[in-house]
Amino acid sequence: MRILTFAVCAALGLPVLGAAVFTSTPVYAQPKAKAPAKKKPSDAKKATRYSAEVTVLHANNSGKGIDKRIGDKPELKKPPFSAYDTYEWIKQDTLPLKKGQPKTVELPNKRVLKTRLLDVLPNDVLKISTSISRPRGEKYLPLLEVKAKAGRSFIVAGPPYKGGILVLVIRLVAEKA
Amino acid sequence: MSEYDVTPEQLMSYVDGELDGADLEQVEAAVEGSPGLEAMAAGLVQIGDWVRAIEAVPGPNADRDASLTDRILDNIDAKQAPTAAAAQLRLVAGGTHGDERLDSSSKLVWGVAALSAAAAALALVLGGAPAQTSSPRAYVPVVVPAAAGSDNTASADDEPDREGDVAITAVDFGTSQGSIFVVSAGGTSTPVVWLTDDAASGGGTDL
Repeated sequence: MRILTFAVCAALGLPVLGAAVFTSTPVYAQPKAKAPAKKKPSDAKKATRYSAEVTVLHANNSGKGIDKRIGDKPELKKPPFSAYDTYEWIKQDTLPLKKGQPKTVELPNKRVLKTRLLDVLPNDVLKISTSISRPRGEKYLPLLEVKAKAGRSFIVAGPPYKGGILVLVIRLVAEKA
Repeated sequence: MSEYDVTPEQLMSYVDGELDGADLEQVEAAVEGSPGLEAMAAGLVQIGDWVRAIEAVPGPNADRDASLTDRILDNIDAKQAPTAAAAQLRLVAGGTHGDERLDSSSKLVWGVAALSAAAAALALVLGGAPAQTSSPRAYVPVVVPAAAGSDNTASADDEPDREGDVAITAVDFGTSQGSIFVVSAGGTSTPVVWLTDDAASGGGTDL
């Protein structure tokens, strides 16, 4: 009987339990115990709203300089961005970040940027995924995963647009309720 | 067929309704004659019910996020699984059927094993699958482009994952080409994904 018991336990992924019986170690049933109160993952995250602020810029060499609406972006004066003397502010969109609710925004070249919140880590550190699709639905940038603290930015640049390129400055924002 | 002759595989097949003919009759008789086997079969049935209940959760495209987890947990609570489990344990440990072929500790193990297997199955399901990419290609490694090889650039891999920082953890360029680097300016380091493709290099279409 013990051999059969051990075999069944092993088959169920309980080799330790099977061994306990095999060595005559008593195994007691736990009384009907109430499972510890489950802290639902969403409880601690309801107080803060997260979003991705997508600023679309057009980099070109038309000699117009950096649009004042862009604000202070010293990165644009560093290589390789300094290869363009003009940065025009095209638009800015704020995409709410909620798990399971990807958001999209159409870019000036008809490509579609999609953002998705993957996880919220301690200290307002977010893990998001981003992708860019061509108008016909083909993936242009299939996947870009970023982990960043709210308030920080990353840049996606290079899609050609009107003799220059598009520069997407994506900043993660945390808004306390 | 006695309970000693019933293998776990046979019992699972019996529970799943995959046995027929003589095999079905033999296993059925063994289960009916053994409280231990009966408890084990009941545990396997419970596992199947839980898994099917989880699979029935709507939203096939939903991420395994908090809302899905909440729904699963609520579903389990609604079925009062812990209560049923405890009752099952008491039945096996009580041994009121007078069948002495199983000693009490072994009977108990049947029930505990079934419930533990149920918990393991639930943990496997609740554990979720890793995020899937839209492409089977592996992530490309982080590279530093030659044009960015100045003092103002660095590989994203070289950047420590310290608080307040930002890091690119995975990239799939698909059919495009591109590079990843970091531009440091104004006291901050900003990761950059720079895409290049035929249209960009050749000055062709903007799409």
